[in-house]
Amino acid sequence: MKRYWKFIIPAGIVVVVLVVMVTGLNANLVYFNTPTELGQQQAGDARLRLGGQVVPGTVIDTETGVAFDVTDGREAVSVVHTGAPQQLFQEGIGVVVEGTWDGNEFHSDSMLVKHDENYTSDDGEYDPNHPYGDESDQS
Amino acid sequence: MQSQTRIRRWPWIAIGLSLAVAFTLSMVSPADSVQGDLVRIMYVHVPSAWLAYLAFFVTFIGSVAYLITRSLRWDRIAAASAEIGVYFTGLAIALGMTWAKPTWGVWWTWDARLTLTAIMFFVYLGYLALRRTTDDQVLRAGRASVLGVLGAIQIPLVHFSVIWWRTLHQPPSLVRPDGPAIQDPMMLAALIGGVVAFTIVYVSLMVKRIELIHLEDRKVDMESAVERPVAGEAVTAPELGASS
Amino acid sequence: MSQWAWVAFAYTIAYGSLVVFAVSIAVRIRTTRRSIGDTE
Repeated sequence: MKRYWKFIIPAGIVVVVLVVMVTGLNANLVYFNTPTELGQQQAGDARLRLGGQVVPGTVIDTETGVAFDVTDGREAVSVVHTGAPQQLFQEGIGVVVEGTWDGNEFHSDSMLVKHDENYTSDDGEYDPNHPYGDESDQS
Repeated sequence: MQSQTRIRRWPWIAIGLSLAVAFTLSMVSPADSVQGDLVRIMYVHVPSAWLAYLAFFVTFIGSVAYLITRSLRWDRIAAASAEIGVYFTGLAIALGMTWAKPTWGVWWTWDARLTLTAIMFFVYLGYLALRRTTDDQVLRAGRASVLGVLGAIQIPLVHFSVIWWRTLHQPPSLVRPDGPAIQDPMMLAALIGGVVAFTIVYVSLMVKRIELIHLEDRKVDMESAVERPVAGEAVTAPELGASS
Repeated sequence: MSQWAWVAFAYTIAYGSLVVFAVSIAVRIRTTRRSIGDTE
């Protein structure tokens, strides 16, 4: 019977760690907010991440960077980005921007490109049947 | 003296041939419409990550089989697989970083997939360290197999992290319920070819790595056998005393 | 860096480290065989 203890003790620790991770850290495991969720967030100085797809036709070059709209397929948010956009930045591509939300516009100073899992050799255009919110909608 | 542990040369040939085919396929496949030629990094990154899962799953099977049968053969399989798994996890992380920098714009970010992969890497490094805590083969196998079983929880956790939580990392392209998300046959061939080739590499490395563990265990046995004459002298000592 | 430079970087890491890993196992097998007098 005694030799089972060396199994039960580490197993117990693992279970506790998993429970803490999945319940306590669940919010932290979510990497970014969708535009829909951002609408419910309080405006302020808190740094947030916003993720979504760049709406085609909204990209404007500004003096300090670039401005564009980001959508999850339901809501769209205006983003004012300071700094050079990423290499792969283009209309229709997924982005995660980091900055502050003033309730009207999202002021970002850090941009990451989130490419999707679809690969094609054709010069594919933005596909409205695969809006960015596909996976995000579940949570 | 005839060699007691069989020498196999086919694993080296298999590694060379399968990697040559995989490399050719990934170079002739077309560029991606969004990423361009950067997509080719996927053909080594995804197979590396797949092998990490496979290797740690084999460690899990070997650990369970050892705990049931108490046969060191299973422990050797678990150990060899864990070492190869740690290598491929590290490789997947390194290749993921060189893919992330030009596409996402950063080398690393703490999203769920990347963080959990890093944790898995360190847990299995811990497994290898745990195996070094004793020379006793039975004790070593017992300790390692416990961690080998528990560590396997991370395999589904890492793989499904991109579906369970919202991450920067994209969801799987190949293993998904509605079939692969890659339409181009040449791109699909390069990715599947890479996965098959790396699996052959894994099997080949396993064969050689287990051969090495056999040899190392024999070396330990021989070294402990060398100490025996000393014990033998101690046995003869009372005999001398009795005669005088 | 151009796209091909990134690809070359990644493939050097992948194939280079694979060769190092395989050769290290081969060398360890050889030295262990020699140290226990197992002829090849």
